[in-house]
Amino acid sequence: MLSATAEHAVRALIQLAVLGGSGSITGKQLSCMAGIPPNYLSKILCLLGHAGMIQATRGNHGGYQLAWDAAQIRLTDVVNLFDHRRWRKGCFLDCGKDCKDADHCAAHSGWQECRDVFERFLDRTTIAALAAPVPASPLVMPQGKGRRAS
Amino acid sequence: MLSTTAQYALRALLVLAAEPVERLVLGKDMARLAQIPTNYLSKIMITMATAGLVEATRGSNGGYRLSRPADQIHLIEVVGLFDRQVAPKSCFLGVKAECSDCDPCTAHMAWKSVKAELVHFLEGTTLDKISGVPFKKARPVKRKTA
Repeated sequence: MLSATAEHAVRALIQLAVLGGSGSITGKQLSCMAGIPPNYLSKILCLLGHAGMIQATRGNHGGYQLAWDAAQIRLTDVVNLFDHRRWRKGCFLDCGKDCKDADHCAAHSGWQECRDVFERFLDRTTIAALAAPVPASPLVMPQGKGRRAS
Repeated sequence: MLSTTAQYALRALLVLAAEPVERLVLGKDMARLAQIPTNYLSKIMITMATAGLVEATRGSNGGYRLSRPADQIHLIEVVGLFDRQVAPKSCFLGVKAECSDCDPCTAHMAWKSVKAELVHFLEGTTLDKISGVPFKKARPVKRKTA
């Protein structure tokens, strides 16, 4: 699962992706929209900027915007940036053991499956997908009431 | 993947699980054996005592012990105390108070299956099943005699 910092970073990136190429947004606005404390956000944005994911412009009309295409930013990229320590070691309890298939802790095999599923989810999910509006539930048309094509 | 706090909580419980049921273990011994900062551990232990996972006894012969045998403590009970993302209606992105199929966030549908896998593992695993994690056995505490 994500740390609070990674979660905030994802939310900030989603807001920037929603904005798209229509200009930049100030840190204050982004803080309000993403629900992140301004000071916390500025540190997160600094790291995202260093990683090249976002672009910061100074000045009156300055602000933040995505530098990458939102479809190319995977959750893995964000997690690697903020939660790399959490992910570096494979051990369930991080008990100082370098958990490998050959030499593993008691929780290893069950945990490995969860980890694989989670990693696939992070790899396949992009900021663009998370910024897209939630599709409405499909309307079910009662049988026999549909219009026939003329 | 688990938060540091949840990992520490599990490690602390494993120290207690390695001891005979009736033996009380001092906080400082637990902190040393599980390699957790003492102050951090004491906060974690308060949460776990409130949740009924451990019993805390004060006084010169005090300490902590499991309130149930290790084979009756499921990992979900521990992780659920500290990691909100395993809670039934939690939102992956933290944008909704409650996220569900009827009222989902944009990550909900993809996250649902990942969370189900995780919860399945945590619900199906008890503390005794992971007790093979290498921790040193606690030494009996030497107490000063009057």
